[in-house]
Amino acid sequence: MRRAGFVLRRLASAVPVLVAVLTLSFVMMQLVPGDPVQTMLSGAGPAPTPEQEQALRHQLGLDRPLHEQYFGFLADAVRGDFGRSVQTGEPVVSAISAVAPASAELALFALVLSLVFGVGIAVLGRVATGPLRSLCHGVPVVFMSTPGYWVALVLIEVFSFRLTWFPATGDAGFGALVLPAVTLALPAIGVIAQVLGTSLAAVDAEAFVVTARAKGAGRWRVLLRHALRNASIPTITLVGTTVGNLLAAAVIAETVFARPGLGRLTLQAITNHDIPVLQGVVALLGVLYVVVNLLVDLCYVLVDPRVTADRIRD
Amino acid sequence: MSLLAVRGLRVSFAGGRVPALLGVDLTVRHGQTVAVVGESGSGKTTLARTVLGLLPSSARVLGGSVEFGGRNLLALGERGMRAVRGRSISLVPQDPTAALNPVVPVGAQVAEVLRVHGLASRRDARRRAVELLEVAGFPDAGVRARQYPHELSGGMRQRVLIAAALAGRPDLIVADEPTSALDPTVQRQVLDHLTELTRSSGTALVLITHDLGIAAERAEHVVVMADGEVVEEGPPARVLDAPDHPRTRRLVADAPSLNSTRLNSTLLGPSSAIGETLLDVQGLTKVFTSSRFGAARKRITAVADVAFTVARGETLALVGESGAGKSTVARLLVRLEDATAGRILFDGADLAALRGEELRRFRRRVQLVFQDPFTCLDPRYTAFDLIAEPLRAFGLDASPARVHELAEQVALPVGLLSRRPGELSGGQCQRVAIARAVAPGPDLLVCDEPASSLDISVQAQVLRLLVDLQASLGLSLVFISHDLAVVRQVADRVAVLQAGRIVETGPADQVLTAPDHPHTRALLSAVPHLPRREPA
Repeated sequence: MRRAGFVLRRLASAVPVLVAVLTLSFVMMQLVPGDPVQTMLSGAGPAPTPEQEQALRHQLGLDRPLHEQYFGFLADAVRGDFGRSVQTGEPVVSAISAVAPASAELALFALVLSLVFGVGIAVLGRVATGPLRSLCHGVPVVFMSTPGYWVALVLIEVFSFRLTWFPATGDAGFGALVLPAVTLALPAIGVIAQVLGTSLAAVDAEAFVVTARAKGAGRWRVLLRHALRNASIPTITLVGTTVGNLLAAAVIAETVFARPGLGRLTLQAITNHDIPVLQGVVALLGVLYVVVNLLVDLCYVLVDPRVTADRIRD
Repeated sequence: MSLLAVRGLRVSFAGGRVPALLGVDLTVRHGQTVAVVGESGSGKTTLARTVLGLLPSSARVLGGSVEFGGRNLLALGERGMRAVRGRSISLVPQDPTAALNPVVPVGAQVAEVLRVHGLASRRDARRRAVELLEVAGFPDAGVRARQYPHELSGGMRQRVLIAAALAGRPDLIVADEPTSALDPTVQRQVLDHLTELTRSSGTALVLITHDLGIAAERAEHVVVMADGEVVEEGPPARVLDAPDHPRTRRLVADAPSLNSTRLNSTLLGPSSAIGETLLDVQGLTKVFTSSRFGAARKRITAVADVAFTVARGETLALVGESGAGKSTVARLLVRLEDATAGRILFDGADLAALRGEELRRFRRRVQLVFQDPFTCLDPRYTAFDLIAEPLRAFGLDASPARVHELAEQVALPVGLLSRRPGELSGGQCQRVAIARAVAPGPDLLVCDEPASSLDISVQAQVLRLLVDLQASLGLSLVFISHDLAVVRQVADRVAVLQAGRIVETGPADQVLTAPDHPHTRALLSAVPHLPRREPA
């Protein structure tokens, strides 16, 4: 019951956040230097006439007062209509949905890799002894500090050109997913392993770990039943922000590996002043952040029963 | 034949550089209750940890043997000890709040013992856990088993840990300060349960405690430890009534007791004259309202219609169980919190009406000393900066000479002023906290359990310091404590709080020796007694 109420309250609080995101994207686009109409008409061919400019302005609704533009934008956005791409004339929504699956695939696979290896390295670093332990403690720092574009080039060199295990470019099949996903996942693996490892070490010093050992529990039982769940809260927060970082880092990965995706779409939209597409992408990212944060909050509730408890000083 | 025989046990920390146990002997017979007493640092917890094979990795066993049921536990190794822990020897840990996993229901934490040792199937273990909780004193064990630690009180949590310790039907239970985090009345209930259950099941008990009263009341045999050695042992009546060793004598002398009298300043003799009224509290009420969005608003009355006065140079003790509202009163007195109703008059001025410069002057004249000196001091400040900070904040003389003078007033060696809280002992930290409190020259000190987290002998020193400072500076004290034996040593008058209301108030001699109210009598009867003692 309490959990249902919690979810409803969090969902309700997502509405103003989304309105704020849309408003910000509208304001930012107003502040971007340059006139979109000029940009759109500045392609090849003869210089546009004032009439042509006027017509385009009217078509885009740019001749209306600012507040009308704003509420029109909000109303359209709520209906899922972000207009047409200035560059291609394609509806923004279909431009985004054409590349979104490829990006989702990549981000999800990268996320799974980050979680499996990040948690795995952290846990192994607590249980292992000798050189393996040192390796588990050293590797995360290396992963975090290697730049993505360099990793991508090395991976292509080794696994595509030398070993020819995976294709270097494109989005054909699972094989093409591996190298970009690894590129994206490496820094995330490093951060997750580092943060979770530190939390696990801190929890190891807690009194309830001694209690568990005094019951006769072995190392693995103490780690998996007692330490991991208590240590996971900072890591869950981190995974939430990691999802956002994956989308940002996807720009590099998609460019280097020549994959279609949101990252490349955004990059093109920025270089071409394609404002409707950018607004669509920003709105989508806003929704994604809200959803991810909701999931993160739900994870808190599942992991720690104290989260929904009333906190009243005695 | 003895159940546990520790012989010549030597343990050290930090690779042999810091000796903790220097050849300790301890014998426990089947079904016997043995108390191990001593100050912190005496090695009693290290002894317990060695018996359970739970020493931290920085510790080394240098020699000796731990024979249990004919086997040397030190030769068993980690895998062998795992079969012993929880099954043959179990632990009741010190702090019931920290010792339970906050994210696992308590029933599962009791059942875990049975699962680890393969004593029951998953289903049976769950059922057995409910039975064990019932035996440990939960009438509604079926409901409780599904609750989480934060939904239980401190005393209930400790009973969960006792249930877990008994689950594997061990021959020996090691209880490491099992009740030092609890109120006297709850302490008594928990100890009653523990001793009853071990007696009825024939389990031997090693009771580690710094409280000599508990040792005297509960144990058949008392072992006194100091500096990693056993200095004296024997039946409690003999050891605590007629101690041989100077360390035992000091422990007994420092132990606060209801039979003692108020400490007098060593500087000025019997307490100097008590002056006119400084603090006048009338009808004080504080209601907390939970303000969770969308949930039903709950109103909790923490303090209800409380009235008392404190004269200049006088000590008023506020006593009561935890949750009685003592700390809320303290926060209201120093205006960290505003009252819902009622008035606090300080030197004739209404606290609620103070603004701006007047409020700042008031803050200078009233200072607070907290319970836990470690958490209330900024870990990155040196002791010098900590003492200088309030001086600077009020624009007073913060010169090294003034800080040194304050350090001397609280008997803190000037050589320690460059250290940070983490490098000081608990007693030294509390001296820094007290120096901070007296630095701005206050008229009133509000002390919230100032000695509860300290060892007996350190506690005695801090209490003496407070009494001396009071005499030399003419301070008024509001002294908050759940420990009536401590209150006996410092209070002129006592007010007893129960559920936010004052149920009895009067001179300390009267309230603590001839109480009127049943709640006061209950609090008093819960205090563990040493065998008959001459007043100090």
